[in-house]
Amino acid sequence: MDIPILFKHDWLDVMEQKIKADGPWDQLEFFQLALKATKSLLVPDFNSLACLNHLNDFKPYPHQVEAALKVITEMHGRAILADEVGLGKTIEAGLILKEYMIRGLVKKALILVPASLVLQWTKELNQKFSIPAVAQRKEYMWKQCPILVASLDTAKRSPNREHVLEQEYDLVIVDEAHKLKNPRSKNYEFMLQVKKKYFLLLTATPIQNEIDELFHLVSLLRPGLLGESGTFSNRFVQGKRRTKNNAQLQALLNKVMIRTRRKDQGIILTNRHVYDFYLDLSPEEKRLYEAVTAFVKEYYHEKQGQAGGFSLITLQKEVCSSKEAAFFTLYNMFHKLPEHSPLREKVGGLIEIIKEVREHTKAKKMLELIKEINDKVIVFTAYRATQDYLQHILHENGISSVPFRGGFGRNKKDWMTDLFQKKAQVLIATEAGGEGINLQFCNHIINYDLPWNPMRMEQRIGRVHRLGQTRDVYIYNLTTKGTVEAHILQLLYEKIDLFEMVIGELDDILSRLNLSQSLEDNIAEIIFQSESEREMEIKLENLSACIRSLKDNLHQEDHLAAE
Amino acid sequence: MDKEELYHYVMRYLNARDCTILEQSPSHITTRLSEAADREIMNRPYYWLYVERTGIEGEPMEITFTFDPDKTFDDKRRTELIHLGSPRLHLIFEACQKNGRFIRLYQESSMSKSGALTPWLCINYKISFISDQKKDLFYPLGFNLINGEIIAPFDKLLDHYCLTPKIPDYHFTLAPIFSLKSAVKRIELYLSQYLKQMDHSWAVEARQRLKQEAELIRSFFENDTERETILKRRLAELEEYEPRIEVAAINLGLFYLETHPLEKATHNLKAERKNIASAAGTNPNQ
Repeated sequence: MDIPILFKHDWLDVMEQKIKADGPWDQLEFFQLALKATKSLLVPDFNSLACLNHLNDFKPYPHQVEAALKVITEMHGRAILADEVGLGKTIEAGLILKEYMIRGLVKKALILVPASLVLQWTKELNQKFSIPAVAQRKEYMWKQCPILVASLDTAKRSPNREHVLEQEYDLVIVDEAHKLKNPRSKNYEFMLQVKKKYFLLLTATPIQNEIDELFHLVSLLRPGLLGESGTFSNRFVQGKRRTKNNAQLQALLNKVMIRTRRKDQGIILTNRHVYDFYLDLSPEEKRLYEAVTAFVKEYYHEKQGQAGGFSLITLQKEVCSSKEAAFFTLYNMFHKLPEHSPLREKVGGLIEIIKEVREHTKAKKMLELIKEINDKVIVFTAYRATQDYLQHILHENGISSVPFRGGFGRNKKDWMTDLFQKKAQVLIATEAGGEGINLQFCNHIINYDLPWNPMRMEQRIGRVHRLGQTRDVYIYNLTTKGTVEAHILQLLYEKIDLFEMVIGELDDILSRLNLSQSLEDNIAEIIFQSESEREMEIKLENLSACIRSLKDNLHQEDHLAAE
Repeated sequence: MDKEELYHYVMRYLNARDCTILEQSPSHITTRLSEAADREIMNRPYYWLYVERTGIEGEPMEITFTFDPDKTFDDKRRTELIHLGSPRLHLIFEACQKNGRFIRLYQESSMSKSGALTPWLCINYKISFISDQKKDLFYPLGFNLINGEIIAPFDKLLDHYCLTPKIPDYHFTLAPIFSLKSAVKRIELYLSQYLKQMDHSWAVEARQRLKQEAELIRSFFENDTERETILKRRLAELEEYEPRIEVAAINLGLFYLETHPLEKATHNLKAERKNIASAAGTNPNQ
């Protein structure tokens, strides 16, 4: 057989020149080091994952390694990664990208993910795989950055679209690829146009509604594998949600799709135990809460959510967390407002009320819990001021604790994690500090305040309840009766079974909710624009019902896909 | 490379770049980099540009490379873990690859009589077999520029020589009969024949697969003239998977050798045996 052999001669002229001029020559030591380096990076066989030697502090699970190897060796780099949520599709995609990069098969890659996940992907590729991925921010980056992470919505819009279509990608990865189910959509048409050698589609739910969706996904990846649309329907479709000739269909799908299920892998997460505490506010706390709430309501419409440059929504949340958190905001507000303004007077009044508050009902409960647990505990709060206060009060009670937040550098984060593991009983973390660290050695979480965005709650839980956690996880939610927070816990979180969801599931559900604004904004709107308590309750319940039904749908599809 | 090899590799680089080793243990090296090393591996071109512009004295970094993930320090020194995937190591690799491409060396000789040195061209090849997958082969080859003799593998043979950048006293070099270009032609002819007799089942399979895939694609777009461009694009994507072999040079050396490499190797081997034998108190000739 005749295989083209390409000899590269990029060195010939240089060598000739050097011989002619008798130098300058390199040193033998560097010659040998260069050889050693190149040899250590050579991959002598087709069917192995050299990238496993390039990973340092993390070990992928066997099913992830297997999936990556299969995509490269059997699927030739075009595949749908459809593992159930929480099994690490991102890791599989990262392994594949890394392997291709080490072998020099991928130099330019584009990773398209939902906007909310751009930074997370970028971080994960850098930290876990040492892949120099960059989040797209500027126009020049499309052309210049070899490994770029962007949102599909950004990429498909002009002028980005034109830039993307100009590039020749070695690999394109699309996360949440169920957005490509409709062949008449802009997304689909756009992905058809993008030039790509290897192509990975990631979705936990390859079928959402109709079998046809899977057909379209596969046809984007490998047109013709399932035949054209007519022959596909005749051969395999028996009604919208039912298939026939399943064995044949399965055999074809196996050529292009990997779907690992938790139960096949024997991957069983430990159980979660959730305890909600609805505490009674002290009279002073109650007075403060009501005063702040009234203030926020009064000015929310007038000031469009802002007063003195500060978000009233934040203030409302802070007062649910601690008086310290609210105090800082009010204090800053007070100083920014013009003197003698009526607003300033009101803010001053609230500060006076804060000064009356002596007790922290939640803090008392927290101390009680920590003593009772008598093991490592992570306390989550959204606010710095609360974090500082908690550290102080733990110290006063002789309980060792370390703080943790997003602003810490990588080293400090590792250091704090280390201290927590080896020395301290409690880690007090703010949300942003949650990502990118492993805290599986701990199995107790206290939510000192509750984020309004359920995704954040999921992220908190996800820090400890993931593959690798060997013990049951205990979650304690602290909330006070009659507050907004209590409503959110009762009417949203509990109604959608948030605390029972597998990590990753919520993300999947919310991406299908098709909200015109973020879920958090939606919740804020419900809370501030409802005329009465009852109206707010009904609206929250409606939202929950909506999420709930999407969730039930997904579970049904899962059964369908499993058949 | 394992941990130990990585350690020695980094140490060799630091020494070759005249960096100051401030502290070392089997699991870490603390060093004050030389300016050259800092420029090569610390990735801060703007700092050095600033140094040049302002004419101030540049201050190369002090850094600790650790080779054991569990190694920690109490003080606040700047540490970096070196493992096969770490970006810093790859910068070191690149620096070495950039600075170790072309060498010219002579066989050392203590003899005070005159001798002729034969020019050998050594090319360390990396041969890649590529379809949608890829594997590499390291192929170091030596070419005698006087008579066209080819020896492969060549790299290990060079280990038997003492080499020096300066021509030894009383010695002279023979002028090459082959020009570089004609040598390359010969070498490539040799390589082509070598590669042709290898097992090509990987390429046969790849072609077969591509043919089938192309048929599927054509049938998919058969009745769809509107999407001709998409059909063409997909077929063009397939072409990138076409099996092929790429041959690239990692680095090259021009070596002037007095002894023939094979002779030198046997000679050394004999000497070695003799040493072992005499150490054991026996005479190999008996």
